[in-house]
Amino acid sequence: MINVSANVQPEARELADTARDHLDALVSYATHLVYDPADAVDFVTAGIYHASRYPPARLRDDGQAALYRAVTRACRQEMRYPPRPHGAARLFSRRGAASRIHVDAAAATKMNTVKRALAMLSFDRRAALLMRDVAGLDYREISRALECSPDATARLIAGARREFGSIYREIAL
Amino acid sequence: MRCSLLVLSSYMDSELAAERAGELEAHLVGCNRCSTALGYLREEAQRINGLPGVHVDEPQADQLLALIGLHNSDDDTRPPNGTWQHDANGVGAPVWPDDAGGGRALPWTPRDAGPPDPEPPAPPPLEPFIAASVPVAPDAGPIPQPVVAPEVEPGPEPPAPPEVTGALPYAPAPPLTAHVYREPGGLSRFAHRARDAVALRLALRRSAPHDLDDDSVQVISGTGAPSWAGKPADRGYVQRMERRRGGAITPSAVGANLVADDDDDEIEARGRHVPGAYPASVPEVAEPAVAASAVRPESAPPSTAGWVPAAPVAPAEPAPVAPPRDALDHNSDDDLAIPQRPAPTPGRHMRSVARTAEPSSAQRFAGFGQLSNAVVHRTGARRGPGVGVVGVDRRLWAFGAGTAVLLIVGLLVGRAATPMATGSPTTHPSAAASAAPIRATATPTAASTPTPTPAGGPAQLTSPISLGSGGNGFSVAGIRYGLHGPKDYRLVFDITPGSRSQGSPTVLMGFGTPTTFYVEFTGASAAGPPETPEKGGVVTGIQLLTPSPIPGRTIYEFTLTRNANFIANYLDGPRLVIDLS
Repeated sequence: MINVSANVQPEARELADTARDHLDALVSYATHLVYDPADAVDFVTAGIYHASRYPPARLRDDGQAALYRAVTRACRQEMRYPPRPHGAARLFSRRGAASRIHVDAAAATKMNTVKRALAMLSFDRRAALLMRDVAGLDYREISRALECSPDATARLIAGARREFGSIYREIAL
Repeated sequence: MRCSLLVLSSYMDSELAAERAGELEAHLVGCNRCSTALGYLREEAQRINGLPGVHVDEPQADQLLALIGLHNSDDDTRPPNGTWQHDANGVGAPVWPDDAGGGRALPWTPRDAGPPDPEPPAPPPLEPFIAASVPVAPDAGPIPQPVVAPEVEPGPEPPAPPEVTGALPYAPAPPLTAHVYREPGGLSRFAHRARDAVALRLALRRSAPHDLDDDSVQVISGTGAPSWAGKPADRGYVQRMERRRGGAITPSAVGANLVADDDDDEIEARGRHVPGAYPASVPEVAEPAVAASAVRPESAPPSTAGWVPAAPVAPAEPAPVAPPRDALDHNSDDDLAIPQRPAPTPGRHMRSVARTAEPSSAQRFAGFGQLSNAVVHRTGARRGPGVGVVGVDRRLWAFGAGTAVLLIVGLLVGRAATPMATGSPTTHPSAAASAAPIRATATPTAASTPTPTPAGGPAQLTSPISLGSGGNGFSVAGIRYGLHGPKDYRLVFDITPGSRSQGSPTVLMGFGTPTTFYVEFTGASAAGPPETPEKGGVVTGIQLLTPSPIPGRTIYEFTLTRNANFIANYLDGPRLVIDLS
């Protein structure tokens, strides 16, 4: 709603270190969330960009959760950095600098039964499940990333596991 | 204890309280169902955990962080004196002191970054370069030795171009040092404010509306943004943002003083400010983003420690810093690290908020409610901060106008293509009173030979008019005629309905010749021969054609003295009335 071009905060350097440490996990999480490594890199870039402009106060404690929250929001709202042009300009625009960042995602993009089952989940459930089982975040961090309470996170994860299990057993050969 | 997937899932993630975990473990001993379910949960977690990951190489990570301006500057090669450092592309980049506390995104030294920077060494003297540029004649005497120019070799020959290693051919700019930008007072202050206000308006107007699309990075929560709790994290945030948004995230925007003194006083009074000599264009960190958007005190579980809003950051005294513009003009790396973008347009809703955010206390930005009303009225949004709203799409109006034009054109063309009937028969004698009289013009036919009886059907008649609803069982009791009005001659057919007759009989009228008028009844029989009309009228003779030349029809023939127009309609009764004029 408010597009504010804010300067980078002094904590950006510390956030940059945190982002560098968790960059692989963030890109993996985004890749499994949106099923496209190129888009995942764009979303991760936009998420880190947003988090650098509005870092949390306790960066050492909430830095990882803040990054995951920013990346989740970027994936949910398809926010890219740099932003894509609209209309006919998109046909004539070259791909942004983020697209030139190549990542090794050959194995991650390979479709399998687990990914198919995950694709049938809703965005929130899939995000919660990936943050718990892939990224290893606890309920408190997941709740901060999804902007909900830890109880809601627990219910979200439980429902996601139930739904994932039923779908997997149904489509698995 | 009840079997619950939620409890099992929490237990598997080690998120269950110790007491409840003990109870669950005791329950699992005797409940095969829960044990099996727990096994399934572990298997599914392992499957998801087994998803392959993505690896980002170190150079790619650096490139990604450099793209958004977070590249770690510790890896940069810096000369000890902090002078200009040219990279491989030959582009100069400012190199900041090590203890500046920031990378390229922070080209100035924060105020409280630590001990003051050491005095930069004096720039290398210019004597060697000047001395080397002076041509020396071969026969000249020994070249006077410069005081400090070891690389310049004296001699009778013209000296070779000195290798200016470590020294620049011009006086390098002094290293950036933090200094306090003091706003000029008096008329200059007003001029500065007016200039900044105009620049801000022009920047907002220049920005394209589509910059606020879904793909752009938009802050919908975080420090200062309206919170989900219905109150903004900082009152007047939008107002200050509107003032400060005078350009992109570049050091060049630092010098623009877009913050009024009252805002600075407010910042000082409330003790909120970024710890650092940030200029007025930097948004203040009023509350952390997590606390602003994620905290719901009413739903915060008591078991989660640390799930409380973070305290505001301890502020420092505001001191906007404006580095020299000559230093910033050579900073080409900002194009990569900090992309220079035009000031994003706030959108119509933001402009409405800006209009409402007046300096007066009564019209200050009231917070979430006021903003949501503006958004709701324009976008129909139902809840909280969302994605930015762009301007009104005029294509919808153009489409609606085009559709309306096509509709009108279609109606006109349709009406023109469909010939309107010259006469409409009344469906019921009772409705004949309100029926409009049918006016038919008697057009004299080209045929001059009169035909005593119509040989065919209505096709033989000229200017035919048909009335009636097709009823049966009627009989023509009689015909009355006489003058009606100053010019009209009226013929009245009294029709008697039968026991089961309904509606009105079909009647066809028309001219066989210009002076011969025929009336053909279908569904009505003649009760008797008509009477002879009086002399002096337009009708000189009436004759019932027997046998009827057309089977099933009762045909009356009228002999006229002249060509006449006639108007016919059914009246209640029913009665057929024909006016000849």
